[in-house]
Formats: sequence, structure tokens, C-alpha cells
Amino acid sequence: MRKRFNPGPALFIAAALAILYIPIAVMVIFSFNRQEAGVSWTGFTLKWYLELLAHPDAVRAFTNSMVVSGVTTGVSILMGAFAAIGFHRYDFKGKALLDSFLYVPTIVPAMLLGVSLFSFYDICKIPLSKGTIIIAHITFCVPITFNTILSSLSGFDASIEEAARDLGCSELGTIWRVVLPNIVPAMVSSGLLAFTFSFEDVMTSFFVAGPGDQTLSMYIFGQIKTGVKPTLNALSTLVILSMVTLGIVTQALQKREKK
Amino acid sequence: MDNEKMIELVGLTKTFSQTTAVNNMNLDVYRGEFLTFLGPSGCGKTTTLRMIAGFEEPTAGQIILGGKNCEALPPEKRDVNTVFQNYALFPHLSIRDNIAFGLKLKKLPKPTIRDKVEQAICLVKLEEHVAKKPSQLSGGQKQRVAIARAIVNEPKVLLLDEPLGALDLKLRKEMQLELKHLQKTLGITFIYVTHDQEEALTMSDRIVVMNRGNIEQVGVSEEIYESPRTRFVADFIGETNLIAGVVTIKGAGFTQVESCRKRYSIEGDYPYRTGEALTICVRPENIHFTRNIADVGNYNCMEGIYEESVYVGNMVKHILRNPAGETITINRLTRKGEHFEPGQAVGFCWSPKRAVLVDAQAGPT
Repeated sequence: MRKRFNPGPALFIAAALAILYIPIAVMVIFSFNRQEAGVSWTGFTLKWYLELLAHPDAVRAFTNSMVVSGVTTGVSILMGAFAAIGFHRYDFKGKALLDSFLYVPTIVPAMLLGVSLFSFYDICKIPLSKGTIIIAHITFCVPITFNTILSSLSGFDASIEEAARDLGCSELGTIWRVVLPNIVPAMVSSGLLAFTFSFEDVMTSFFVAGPGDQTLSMYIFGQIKTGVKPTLNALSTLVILSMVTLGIVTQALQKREKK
Repeated sequence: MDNEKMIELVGLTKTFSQTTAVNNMNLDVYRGEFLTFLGPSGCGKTTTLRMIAGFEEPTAGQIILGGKNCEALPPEKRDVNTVFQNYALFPHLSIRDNIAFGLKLKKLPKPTIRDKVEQAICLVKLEEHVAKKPSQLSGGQKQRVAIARAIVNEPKVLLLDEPLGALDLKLRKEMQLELKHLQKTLGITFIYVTHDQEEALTMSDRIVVMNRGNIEQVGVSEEIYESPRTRFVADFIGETNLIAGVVTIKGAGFTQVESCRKRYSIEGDYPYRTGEALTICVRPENIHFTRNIADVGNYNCMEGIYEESVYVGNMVKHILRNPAGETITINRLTRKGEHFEPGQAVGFCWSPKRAVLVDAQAGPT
């Protein structure tokens, strides 16, 4: 007997997807709308995108974001990889404790992280700058890279390292010739993830950014106060586009790694 | 195999926090021999191998490799190579690069490396697969790569840690013979670790039977199987019947043992004293059924209660229980004329030449 088609679940899924994606779709569509205000479609245009490029604040915010997220990602990958290799290869006192400490920044609310870092910088008399944002972002990005790389290492057979030693590799040579090549995919995919987290962060950055160090997310957040402008729609569309691209690349890399 | 010592283990001991994995081991390994460490899991065979390779540091004792004490040498400085149980191939390198790994590290000239790698590839018959990655190979092929990767370095000693353990039975049997031929061709000293006694008997020049960190017996296959020196060896290697007894007469070339209120004569000189408790070992294939216990010449006879028979293809296995309650297994090639009912009293006998005496208890603890 053929199963009769039940529209219930399909409708439910459609509704859930609609709630998730309709606002995004509307925003993307209106970024191409000629009319500045209102909900009616008056024709296709790219002028909001061009206006955005002519906007010095937006361009600076974008540059700031690229610098902050780029440096954060690079440092997080390196720190995460070294920490993960150390964790994987050696046993030491307090390892379990340190492990749980490395999870904490991912579950601490972003605002609290921002407040605590802000007071820390204040106490230490460190002037706020891009550097202070980067440090803040590294605190929640290293756990991401660390855990991803560590889990890729845990699937890595320890006897492979022994085999390298056996065939004439020194301890460091083994890390360089055998361990690193095998965790590169995990390093790249966790780095992309870290970049995304850093790029979209508003809350923590808000507390630790110096004047003129506004990131793109902070800029968008600030613009909302004066109402939604079509330029903002255009900007958000660009951000979404780049984030989705990053996400797809990350997933593709992780899939390849699993093979 | 000649008399040059390749490896000397002197008082080698390894203790992990609570347990002694290897206890005061003394052993010489000769050039060109195929030596097997055989024992149940946890007997210390792998630990010994890992100490020779340099992956574990001995708690006490010395490892002398080719006349040199290699206590302070890290694994990469030792002239031995290992074939790991799970192959441990480098997943990011092609088969060719896996095999060339050791030679490249030795900074040999490129043409030399290419030639040697090519030779090793031919030796293990992997010509078609050189460009593949390890994940594209079958278990047997991976094992060949692991072997080629090790022997291409021409080590003084090749260490093999249960290298065939992950293969299915048929492939394992093929590889056993292949490995043995390879060893004879290359003339490299092999130290092979296995818990599979049949594998050990098939391949080895000499077998070292280990139990709880101690060497129970060292000898060629026939010695180990036919003249086990301890109860553990008798029990671990092949099937055997263990019958408890007490020495009644210690004669010249024979020992008389009382068991189940009867006396049995066993040929051979044993160090047991009169009155000492021991165990008679008789292999199941050396026991015959007899209709008339009174008339079997100088054979040793016993009566038992028949329990069951099992047909296992190349033979029939009969299970009996002797008066002392010990299980007696008798292996016969056919069932011809030997049909018994459960509970029936059945006589069986064995030649005094076909039994050995070992201690009453399982080996040193």
C-alpha cells in the first residue's frame, strides 16, 4: 500500500524555513530597490552599493574588520594548533582542568567577556585599540581552533608518530613532517570558523574597541539606530554573501577531511 | 643463522606503576634468525619489542644492539625498524613516499633512493599501487607497504608487532609464508611478536614463550611443542591433556608417576624428586582408545567416562573425564569403530615416549 501523502510535516518545515529566510530574502531584495523608504518595489538599482563604497565610515569599518578578523584567525590557528599538539602528545598535571578552562570562553556570554576585558584593560592602563579587540577575539576563537584541531588529532593514530621516529625522524621532525600535514585541513576549517565568529562579533568588540576602530558589525549595529537605510541592506547583503561563502568552504573542507 | 649476536638483552626489566611487564629478561638474538616472542596478551612480549625499538625505556637492564649498548639512543638513532600492528602508514603520503620516507631522512642521493624504493616495491609486489594513498589499499596491501617501508632501510633487526593480526585467516596464512621467505631472502634478523601459537610454529627459527613478563622456554618449534618444559608452555602451545600426579620412582631414563591410584612410566630424565607433585602432559593426538586395559604392552592406560565427540573436519575430537575429574581430549583422524555412548566407561592409553612431565603449578608468578 502506498503511503498517503501527509501535508502536515511538509507545511511545518516550510513554515520554519520561511520564518528563518524570509527576512533575509526581503533584506537582500530591498538592497536592490530604487525607492529609499517604504515597502513597494520601484525598480532595480545598484546605487546603494555604490553609495556604500563612497561612504568612508563603512569602508574604514570594513578594513578594520578585515584586519581584526584576519590577525585573530592567524593567531588563533597557531595557538590552537600548538596547544592541541601539546595536549595530544603529552600528559601533564592539571590537563583536565586546563581542558575545561579552554571551553569556558565559548560559553561565557559575549557581553560579560567584553565587560571583564574592558575592566582588565582599564586596570592595566592599556589604551583601547585594534589590538585590544584582537586580544578579545582571540580569547573566544582559540577554543574553537583548539578543539577542532584536537579532535582531528585524536583520530590520528599514535603509532604513526612512532613509525616516523622509527624511520629516523627526530621528535620535532615528526611534528613537522607527519603531524602538521595531517592537521592542515582541520587548521583551515577551524580558522574559517574562527574568522566568522570574529567577523560577526558586536558585543565583545563594543566594549574593547578604541575610537575609530569600529568593526563592520559594530558599524551596522550603530546605523540601525537611525533606521534601516537601503545602504545598510546592501552592506548586510554583502556580509551575508561572504559569510555563506566561508561557511560552504568550511563544510567542504570538513567533508574532505572526513574521507 | 650464524652465531654472531645481533641483540643481547641483559636483565631487561620494565615496571609500569604497579605491574612488572618484563621481569629480568636475558636473551641473545643471532644474526639472520627468525625469532618469535609468543605469549598471551599482557605477557610482556610487545613491551620487550618496544624497548628494543626505543619507544619504552627499560626500568633496569641493558639492550645491546650489534655490540653497542643503546640505552641512550632515541628510536630514530637505532638500527632497527618496526612493522606496526595497525600498519601506521602516513596517511598524507603516497605509497612510494611512504616507502621512501626513511631513506629520504638519511639524505641518500636521489637515484639511490629511487632504486631502493623500486626494489622494495617489487619485493612486496605493489608495482600497480605506488601512486595511491594508504586509504585506497586493502589490509593486506597496507601490510605489504608497512613491511616494504621498514626493510628498505636495511635495518640490522626488523621488529614485527603482530603484523598479521588484522588480516583474515586465509590472507594471514599466505602472508606468513611470504614473510618467512622474505626473511630468508633478505637475511635480516626478524623479531616477531604474536599470540598465535600456530603462526609462531609456522614461521620461527626459534620461539621465546613468555608469560607474565618471564621467559618460560626458548627453543625451536619442535622442542616447544614436543618437549614443553613448563606447565604453561604445555598448556599454551597446542592442545594438551594435563593429568596431576606424584613421583613414585625416579629411575634412570624414566620416571614413575602415580595418578588416579595407578602408576605410569614416563620416559626421559626429569629433575623431579620422589614424592614431588607434578603434571603429566599428553597431546590429544598421542592418545589411543583401547578395549582391553589389561593388555596393552608397556603403554600407559587409564579409564574414563565418555562425555561427547565433536567432528571438526580433519578429525574427530572425543571428550572424556578421568577418575580425577580432569578433562581428557582425544583427537582421532576417523570415527571408524570408535562410537561411544555418553556415560560409558572407555579405556585409553599412550606411549611412555609420548608424554612429558612438567611442574604441578602454572609457571612462576
